[in-house]
Amino acid sequence: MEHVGTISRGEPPLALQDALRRSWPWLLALLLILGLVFQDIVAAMVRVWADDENNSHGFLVPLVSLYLIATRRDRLATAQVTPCAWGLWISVLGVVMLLAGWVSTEFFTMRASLVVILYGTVLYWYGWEVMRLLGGPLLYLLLMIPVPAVVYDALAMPLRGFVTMVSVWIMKSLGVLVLREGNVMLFPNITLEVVNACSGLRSLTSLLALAVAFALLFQKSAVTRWILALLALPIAVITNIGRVVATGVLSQYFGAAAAEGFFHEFAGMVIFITALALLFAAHLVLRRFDS
Amino acid sequence: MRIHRYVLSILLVGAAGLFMGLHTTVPTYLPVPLEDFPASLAQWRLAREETFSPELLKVLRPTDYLYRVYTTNNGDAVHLYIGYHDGTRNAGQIHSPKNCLPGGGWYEVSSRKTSLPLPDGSSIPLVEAVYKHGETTEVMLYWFEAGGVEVTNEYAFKLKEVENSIFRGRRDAAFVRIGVTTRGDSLDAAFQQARRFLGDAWQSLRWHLPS
Repeated sequence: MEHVGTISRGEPPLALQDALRRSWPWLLALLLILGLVFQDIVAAMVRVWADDENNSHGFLVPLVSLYLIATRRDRLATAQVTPCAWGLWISVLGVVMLLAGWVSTEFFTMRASLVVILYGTVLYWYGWEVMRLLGGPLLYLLLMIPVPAVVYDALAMPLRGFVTMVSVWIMKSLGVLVLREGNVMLFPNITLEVVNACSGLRSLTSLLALAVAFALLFQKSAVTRWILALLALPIAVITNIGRVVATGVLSQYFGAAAAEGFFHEFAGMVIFITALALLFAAHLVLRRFDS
Repeated sequence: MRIHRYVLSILLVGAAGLFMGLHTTVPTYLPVPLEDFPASLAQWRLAREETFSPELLKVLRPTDYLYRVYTTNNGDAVHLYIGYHDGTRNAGQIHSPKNCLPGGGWYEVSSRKTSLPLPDGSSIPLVEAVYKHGETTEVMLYWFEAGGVEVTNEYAFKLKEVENSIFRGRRDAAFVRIGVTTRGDSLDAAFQQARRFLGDAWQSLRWHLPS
């Protein structure tokens, strides 16, 4: 490891496009070998995107990431290459994650290790100036990884309780006769349970992926980017409270039909589109503050 | 540009891939299929056997499983679930009730670690938990087995799995749960019942699961 400290010494500064012109076979070799090592892991993840509607936004994430990189290609071409030894250690960390995940069949760790290895290698080969442009799109890839069930359930429980509590409070203020028992709402003619899907968590990951995409694409300053990304949480919760209240009120008139089947699915769509509209509105407002 | 940087990165990923390719875990087979688990254990008789829906099986992906209700003549009833995963890629993961049941609307009322002494001088470490779903209360005794070793903690289980995979080349895991449905006012009696069943079933459990 004697070169670690002297890594950029004695090398003339180089723009990324010139570096790539010389070293593209290495990059190609790395991508090929990553493809080989990760093929089963990525294939399994794509199957989750396809089978589980909580994670269907996964298909979108790599495309957005590539698009982001494409929009920055002019700046990338002229970025200075300043290799950084830290990158190697980040890659090592990624490999440790990969192997630990592999021997214990821990999917999240295995999947996340791909992003960590990519991040580490870009830093090790090309340095911080390139990373300033690629870091966002690379870290964005983390959002394509399905949230582990342990984390999902740990978040869903309190969120469900909160959504039920606020919804019942709003309905009472509207004069609706309703009692709350845990996550169950008791109406005179019907009993409804606020399940995980209605807690807002289901749409939260998709909304978060979209919010961060918006932020990276359209917001210029780091502050407004963070604000837009963080707004995904209240937007997801508020729209789902709206959904629970609407379902509760409507089922007073139309019975169980309002809470089940087509109507429920339809309401889910309307709520998600509303959330998107809110996100877009937030983006328009925040843009005014972007310098 | 120095070449060592490229070589080092590629070697690193390549070495990981090589390890993954060469590191095989062989499936551990059950001595006999779980359906051959005794239908009568002391005073307990098999009353009902349930099969899981294809959707549930798709999530759990057990290599073999058993879900039975055993009853006695005086009306006691216990549920016995055994999920076995042979450690190959096709087998799913153990789902801890801690993470799994809340998704189905069950919530944990209490849970504590303990162990049940057995007549042969050994003991089974287990979790005694109470779960509630609406009006239904269920007391349960459960534990995990990683490569035949009983553990009660999800993280210890994961570590044991890593250790077994690296040093013993096996990754088999089992989950055993004994449940008793109760009205909620007689938790102690329900736990007694579950422990009594385990006392009658432990020899068969040891024999039917890999050691």
